[in-house]
Amino acid sequence: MHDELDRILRDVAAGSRRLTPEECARLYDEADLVALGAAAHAVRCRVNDPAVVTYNVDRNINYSNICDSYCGFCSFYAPPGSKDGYLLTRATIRRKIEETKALGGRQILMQGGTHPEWDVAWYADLLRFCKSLGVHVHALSAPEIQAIAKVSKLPVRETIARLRDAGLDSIPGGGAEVLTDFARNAISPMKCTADQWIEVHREAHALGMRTTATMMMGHKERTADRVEHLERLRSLQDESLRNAGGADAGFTAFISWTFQPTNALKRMEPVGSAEYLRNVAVARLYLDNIRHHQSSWVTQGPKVGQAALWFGCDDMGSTMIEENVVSSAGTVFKMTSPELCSLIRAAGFRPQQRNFFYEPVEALFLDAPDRKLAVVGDRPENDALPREAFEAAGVTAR
Amino acid sequence: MTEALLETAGLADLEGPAAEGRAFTADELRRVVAARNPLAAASLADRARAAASGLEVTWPWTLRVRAPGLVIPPEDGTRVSHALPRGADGDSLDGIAATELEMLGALPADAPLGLALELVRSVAAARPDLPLRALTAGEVASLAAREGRSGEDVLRALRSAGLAALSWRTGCGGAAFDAELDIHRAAVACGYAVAVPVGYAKDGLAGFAAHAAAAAAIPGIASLVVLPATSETASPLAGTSGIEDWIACAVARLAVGRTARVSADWHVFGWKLGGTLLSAGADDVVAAQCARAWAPPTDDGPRPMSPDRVRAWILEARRSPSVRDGRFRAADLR
Ligand code: SF4
Repeated sequence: MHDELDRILRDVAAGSRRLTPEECARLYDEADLVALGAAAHAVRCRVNDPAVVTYNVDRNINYSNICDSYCGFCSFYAPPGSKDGYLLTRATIRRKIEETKALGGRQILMQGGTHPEWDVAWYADLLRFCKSLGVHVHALSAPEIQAIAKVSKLPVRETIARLRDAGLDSIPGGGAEVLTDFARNAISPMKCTADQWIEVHREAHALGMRTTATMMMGHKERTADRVEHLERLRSLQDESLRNAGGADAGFTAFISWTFQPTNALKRMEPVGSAEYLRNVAVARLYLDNIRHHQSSWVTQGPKVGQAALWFGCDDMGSTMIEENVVSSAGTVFKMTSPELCSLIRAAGFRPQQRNFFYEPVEALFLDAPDRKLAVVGDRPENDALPREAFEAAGVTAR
Repeated sequence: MTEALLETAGLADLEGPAAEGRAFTADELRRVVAARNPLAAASLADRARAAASGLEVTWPWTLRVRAPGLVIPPEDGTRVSHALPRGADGDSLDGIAATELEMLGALPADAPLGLALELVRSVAAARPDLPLRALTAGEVASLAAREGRSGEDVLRALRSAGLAALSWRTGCGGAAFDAELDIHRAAVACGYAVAVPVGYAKDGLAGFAAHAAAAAAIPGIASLVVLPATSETASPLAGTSGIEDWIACAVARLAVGRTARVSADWHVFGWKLGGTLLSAGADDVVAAQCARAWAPPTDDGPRPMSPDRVRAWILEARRSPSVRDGRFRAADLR
């Protein structure tokens, strides 16, 4: 690899300076994948416990599939008025949340489509109901919030404030895809713009709420689009941290996954996992102000999910008790929490269940109690592994 | 960046030999395994791969056929999904673009050599322009034992019937490894293109290192095939981890140095992990299948691995794709 790129990687891995957008583009196009992984892993070990990989137990609840954004890649939505449209009843939502709690989950991720008529009062009712059942409500992506604001004829900040007051705890990063107009026009021209996505997260951060950042890569975007996406996230996070005066603020985590060609775009070729790992590593290096990076075993499969833990990720994501959007696109990977722990251990790390804020919580393995010993087992020899492994990655274990 | 990685992994002294493409000893391979660091292992392997084949990654375009009477093990499910039947009705395989022919399936345990010869003859005759890959070294060893003949004898008979290369499937290169190695040695002597599968199970990389060194020591092999004991589709949890797969692939490369290719069978690893192994020492991809009924992707079932996608994923790994035939010779797609 070029000496110059190597020097850049060393500097960034050591935390002595930031990547510029130009350097980021060069890393995407030219850097050696293993060298990228080594640098990203060193950063991840510097900012998180090198021995631990966290995971969450939660449930995706897709309250409705009715949507008027018509994204070309989406096989989940039903247009307004379609006989395929659904809206979950309160009884169904209650059952799903109670089941989640019984399985050891403490959080729901609730998303739907963009609806042309449902206003903030409608959503506030829904959120109040969910919150009354005693879970962390991580819900409503930026496109939904923009649609709610539009229907309600309210500013975005006031819309979010009303939703928060009704029970919205945090906002997922869904709908970001790639945050440039070029990329969005190619795959989801009717969804909110890149500026509007950023606006929702900026306003939420200003209200003291935490959100997550995402990226769906591997469709029509160019290197320049990926770089611009990362730059927009990093700038917003800088701003949010500055405004918070040193407190933890803004995005809790970054999650990327690959575009799954389906629906109108089904003839597009999917990108491979080498490109996914490259993106994971570059994102860890560029987004030096977002502490946690998730591996996407749901779209990449368990083995690449494990590999991503050596390319900058410190979190294995969620057990995804239920997932409708990606599974509509043909992804079939499913996992219980003991199984997720088993994968994390086999990758050389100690699993730790967490909550939305990445605080450790006790793992109860209620989603598969009979499999706890069989799958997770007691493997003390593996507990000794991570520290050596991380030292071998060139970082100080702590 | 990777120099520092190797330094802290205690493998810095192996950087020079790796970059020269020198085949590592069994002890050196065991050190790589013991470091348990997929990035350090891959970093060494990538140097050796660059010395061996530069940026070139070879791949065959495989025409798979299901022959009557052969048993398809469940693990081979993904292979078979787009294979053509080669039934009694004599489906024509004419005119299908491909660079090798693979006969899928395992011989029944009591099959006589005559049956194997007949199957090989009939399948090879369907496309005499394509090198035929079929049967495993283990099956050849069993045939030889049943017939009271030497492995070399049986291989010569199969070669005359039209066999160009032995195949592999999960389970190969494991328990009966020594007997299989004897067959591979004999196969080189008989003029086969020899790809030696070396298997490993979960937590079994130390044994794999010794086997890889032994396989690499056979002069004249074309490739070493890295073969986890179970495919990802068969067992994502009970099988090997993605980290073990990366280290195994790197160890295979370091075992052969610059003397042979390292083949990653994406059907076994899963296509997604398979694509990443090009950064861990692999320089040969077995994945693309062709079928007359090449259909556009559907939303149900596994997507077939098209030649376009194999090419694209090799390019994504910043390598240069090059089509080969079943005898590891440069080939054109027709
Ligand atoms: S991806 Fe979301 S916004 Fe786009 S059509 Fe599907 S449900 Fe609607």
